[in-house]
Amino acid sequence: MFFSFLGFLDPLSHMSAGHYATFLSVLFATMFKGIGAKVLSVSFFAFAFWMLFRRENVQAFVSFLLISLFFAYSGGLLGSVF
Amino acid sequence: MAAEKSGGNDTVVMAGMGDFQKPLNLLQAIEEIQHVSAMEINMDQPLDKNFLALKQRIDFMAVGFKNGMLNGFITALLTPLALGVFDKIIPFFGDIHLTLFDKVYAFLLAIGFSLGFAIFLSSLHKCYVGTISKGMIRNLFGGMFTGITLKVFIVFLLYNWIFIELTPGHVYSMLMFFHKYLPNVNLVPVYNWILEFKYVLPESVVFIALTSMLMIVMPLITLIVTSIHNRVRKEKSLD
Repeated sequence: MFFSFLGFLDPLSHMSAGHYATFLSVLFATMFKGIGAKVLSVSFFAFAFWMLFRRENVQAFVSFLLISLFFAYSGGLLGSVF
Repeated sequence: MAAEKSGGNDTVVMAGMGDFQKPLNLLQAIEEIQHVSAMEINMDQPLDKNFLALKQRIDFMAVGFKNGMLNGFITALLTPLALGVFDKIIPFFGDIHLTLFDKVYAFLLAIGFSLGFAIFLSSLHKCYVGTISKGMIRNLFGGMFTGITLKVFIVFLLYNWIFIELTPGHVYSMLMFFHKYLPNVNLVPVYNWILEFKYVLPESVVFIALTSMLMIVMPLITLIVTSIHNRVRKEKSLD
């Protein structure tokens, strides 16, 4: 029962390895490069400052700023992988 | 606990003024300052400055120092990244060809931490009202400015040392060490990248010093302006 559930969660049981690799490439190309990365990074940057000034939550400010940095700089690193 | 005469015959009892909590982090320090300033703002006579004992002054200074150093080191790590982006050494959003928006945003990301904290601390100017809250703010900022200055000095030494040490010979021997464990990886692009990237470090030192100045100057200006504003208001009310 448990193993069949794990098998259901395995994405390779629903699509071929080739399709899965293409899906991942498209996902990373849109999330970490170009306009997708810009939208995500700027949104998290704005959210970080909103958290700092409206909620006065420094931890959330630091966390969201780190996430926006990740989206801004990871594209180059992941570009060499995907 | 302290009792204070306020104007007429009423005695205002101020619970907890004598026993301040030791602030463990910046937020607790700000919370303490806000509580004390809220109590002080309605007092006709200022409290004795010795209410804030030496130990508490040192506690506030230590919190400021710790935050100044920590925040400064995050900025110090991010600055070479941003300048690497400007020099087209590090890709930004997966691309090395930048638009004007990318350049502005890379700059904002580099100073984001300093800017956020500077504006956040500037909001403390509202609490710059009584003897004790002023003492707390001065000690917190004093510690922070000391931490930032020390950070700039450490970064200056460290980045210039790295710049001098990153000679082609040193980089080659360092990469040869990694080549033993990764024999199939082509390390020539890494070698070229390191030798190109090292020229970002001297300009990073200047940039870090300037952003650190921003973090010191911004809260300081707001405090000076508030101080002048309060004095003028006090003189007007006396007239």
